[in-house]
Amino acid sequence: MQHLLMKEIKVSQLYLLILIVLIPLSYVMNVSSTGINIWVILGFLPLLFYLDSQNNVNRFVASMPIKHMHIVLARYLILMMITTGALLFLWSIDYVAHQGLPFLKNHSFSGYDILQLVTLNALFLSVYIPVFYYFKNFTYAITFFLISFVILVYTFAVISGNPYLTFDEPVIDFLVYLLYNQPIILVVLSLTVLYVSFRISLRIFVRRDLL
Amino acid sequence: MNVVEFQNVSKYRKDFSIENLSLTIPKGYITGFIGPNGSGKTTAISMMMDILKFDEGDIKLFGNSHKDPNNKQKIGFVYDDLYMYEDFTIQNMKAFIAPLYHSWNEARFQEYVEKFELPMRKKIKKFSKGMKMKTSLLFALSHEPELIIMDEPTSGLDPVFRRELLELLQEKMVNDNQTIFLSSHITTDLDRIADYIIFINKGILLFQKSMAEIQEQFHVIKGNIEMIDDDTKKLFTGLQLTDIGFRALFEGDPALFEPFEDSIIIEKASLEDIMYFMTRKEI
Repeated sequence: MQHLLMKEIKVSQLYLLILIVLIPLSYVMNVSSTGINIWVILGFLPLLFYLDSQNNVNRFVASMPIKHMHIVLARYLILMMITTGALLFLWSIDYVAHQGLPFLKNHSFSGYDILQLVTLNALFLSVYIPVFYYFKNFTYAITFFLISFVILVYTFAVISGNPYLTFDEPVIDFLVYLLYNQPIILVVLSLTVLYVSFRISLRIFVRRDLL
Repeated sequence: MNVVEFQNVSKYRKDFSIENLSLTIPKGYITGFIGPNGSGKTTAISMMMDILKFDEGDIKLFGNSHKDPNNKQKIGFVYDDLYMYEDFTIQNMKAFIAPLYHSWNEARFQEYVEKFELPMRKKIKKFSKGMKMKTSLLFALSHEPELIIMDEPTSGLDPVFRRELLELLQEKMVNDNQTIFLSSHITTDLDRIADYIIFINKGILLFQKSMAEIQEQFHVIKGNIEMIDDDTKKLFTGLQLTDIGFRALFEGDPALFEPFEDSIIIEKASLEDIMYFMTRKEI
């Protein structure tokens, strides 16, 4: 398993370097970086599937003594490790920046903000990793990813920014309270959706042709 | 004993199907897998490696289900290209591949790196076709597999390396008692080294025979066109007519043609002749 993980890190090392440079740079330039950084972090997902697709790597990997389950599990683990690691790095840079750069206008991240972002990433990955396994053609997968992602963000922006749309039902209030006040709920939610997503991806991967 | 067994394997696609494919790969020999382009060779090999799923039948590797990943400890696989991240070097590939195999032989790996003159730190995207094939071969041989499966390994290679590759395979079979399964549409390669031939066309097995049987049973008959009528046509597996004569593939005892000895020529058929006539029937 660790060799599969090392392979994934090796493949994405250039992108990781860009991320490591981009996060501190965004603070030095005093640019509101959360959205950009989340977008860059989520870029790892299509990147890894693109590189697999471009080089037909699954054909090669499937001819070696590796369980299909480990191939899919390694993909989940590496994406969660990268996104969580990147968010922790963002948090530490944010902390340092707010100590040393007095011109910063945005408030600094709390640990709970980072946990919410990790949960958000876990939800996105849980939805989109099976999509990339489902579509054999990478172009179809990335098209679906981009269109649905834009629709999702736009819908969220419209709903949250529209004063005429309000959600004041007790059930929703309770859910919002849980999400904003119960870190354990966020962790359990992330792990549960990731597990369900992993089972779906594995089912797709073992049943489909790899050519 | 057989290392691979296909039992009535079928795969149905919109544009192409494999139907009731039953074949075996005997242990300790070189088996050639021939057929024209698009005949189903790569599909059959991919099903064997569990890269493609099939709809009916069963495949056994070393007596176990073909889905068991432990089988692949004993298999060295060589594709027609090197399917690996193009920014990887041989060093990167080794770091990933070597720990996967219990029987990885580092000394053998170094020996082949030297023999094939491969650079350890050059990116794969800068490799020539020959270097990519050598790299595939390097990783397939370094864990000392019992079975080497090669899908069109000689296509696109220069004649010098093609011959070297075939000599190496023959050496592996003789010295290390390895089983080699080699698909190719370049039949002259197999004429040189194969012990058994499996011939497939349009997803259907046409025959599986030893080279000795093929040389004994298949002949090319050449003669005047006047000899060809509806009755004589039926004797041949494939027939080519020209303005002055005919060439035909005959399967069976050539003694049948002894009465016509003066007016016909009988030659042993090469694999290319067999493939040509059996896939075209009448030209």
